[in-house]
Amino acid sequence: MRLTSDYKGMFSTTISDREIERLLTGSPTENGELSDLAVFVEMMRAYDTRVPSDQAVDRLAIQAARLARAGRSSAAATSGSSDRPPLRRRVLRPQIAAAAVAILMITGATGVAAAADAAAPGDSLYGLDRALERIGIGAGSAEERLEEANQLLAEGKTRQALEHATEALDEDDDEAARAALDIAIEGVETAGDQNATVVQEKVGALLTYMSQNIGKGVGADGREFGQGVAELAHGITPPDATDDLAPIDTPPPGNDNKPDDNGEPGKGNEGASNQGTESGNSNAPGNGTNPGTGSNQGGGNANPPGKNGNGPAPDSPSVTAPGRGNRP
Amino acid sequence: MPLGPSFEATLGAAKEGAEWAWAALYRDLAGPVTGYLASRGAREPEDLASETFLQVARNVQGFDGNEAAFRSWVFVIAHRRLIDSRRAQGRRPAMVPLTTHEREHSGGNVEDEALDTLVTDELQAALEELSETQRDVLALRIIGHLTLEETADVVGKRVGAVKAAQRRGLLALREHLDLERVTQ
Repeated sequence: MRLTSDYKGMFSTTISDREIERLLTGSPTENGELSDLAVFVEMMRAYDTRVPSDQAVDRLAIQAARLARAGRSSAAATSGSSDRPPLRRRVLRPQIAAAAVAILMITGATGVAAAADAAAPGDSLYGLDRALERIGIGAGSAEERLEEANQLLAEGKTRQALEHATEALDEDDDEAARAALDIAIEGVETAGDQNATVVQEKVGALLTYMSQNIGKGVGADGREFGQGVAELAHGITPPDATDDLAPIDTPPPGNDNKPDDNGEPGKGNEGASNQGTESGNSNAPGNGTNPGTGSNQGGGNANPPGKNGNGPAPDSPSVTAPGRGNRP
Repeated sequence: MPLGPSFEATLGAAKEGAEWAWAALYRDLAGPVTGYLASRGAREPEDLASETFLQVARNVQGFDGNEAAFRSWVFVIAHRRLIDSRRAQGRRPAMVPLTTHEREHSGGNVEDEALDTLVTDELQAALEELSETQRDVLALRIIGHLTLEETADVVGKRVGAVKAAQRRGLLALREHLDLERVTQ
């Protein structure tokens, strides 16, 4: 039975805005004449029962989070980090963020943040640096990790540099590179202090390759990068194993020894090399990272690792010179 | 179910790129957004809802506002996506029937389900008689749980026009629905 026109006319004149609102928002209607319409409205509302699966939610969340981070890094216009897929380690709970913001407010913010941003591993402000990065203050990029690794390398801390470089890698996408770096670390450990310069240079080449290529191809397959790292990492092996390997591309300027001269294990010079390296280090880290000079850091802290004049230069003669002298 | 007091922190974390925050936002809004898209004839409402959220993620850095503003912004994007997909499909919007699984939420036994089917068919037939704006407005208000003002934002009309559209839409629905025919 269809509704009569009389009924319709009555309905249209008597239905109030309030009743319409109750119908639309799902409140029980007070007008009995509207109850059948309310049934259809509820049927329509049943479309809202489409609940996504947990998998669908997870998939969406991962993608959306990536896009949001990408949008943020381009919005923040941080130094050259632009189109690289951001790292997962940014994910952090809001209460930690709130705590860090509170610290910032108490300590007077920008100077400390800038000083912390320049801090390298081992410095007192480094923990804060990482905490700030996690909430998006300061460039917490893979590049920064690699720059810090370079700084460690310049200070002669080769193994630590490699270990630090692993932190630049994406947890999920750079598995191959991570495995390769583990091999490199092993190689450095096995090499000990013999041929430290050569090892150092190879690690330097590896770090340079990483900073130039990290993030590229990760979206598609992530393998290209991992293979590149692996090739360079495999080159870092104990001296006895590198005897017959091709010499490294460019001998450091001012170092008069030929690369292949280093093939022979040094005899009894480990101690000397070691000390040379260590003494070179001891006064290196302070500059540019000292909290006291923090306020200057924001503006002029351009202390790019690699051009860092404080640590021993990679071609520091003290490391390998004795080895050569002792060759039979 | 709105996030309420935790919305601000969740949005902040979402902007930082926290996956848990996006999961929370999506869980909250996927139902109404997908339902709205389905009710308005989207062929793949789930896909369209995902695309909507990815678009939200791309632009979230520029968003600033409370939860109500966020909801209507999400629906603005969903609405645009819907219009785009309609153009791509080149066909008249029709209501996509609820699946059996979805009917289980509102019913249970076989009899109820059969009745639901009849009611749904009747509802679809009646909705066909409404104007597109009326269907949009009713779907946004009923399925999307948007307020009058938020709905006006989404469809790009004044509040008065939305008010008129929902009234006329309900009247037209009333006119073309016949519950007795269904239940007899």
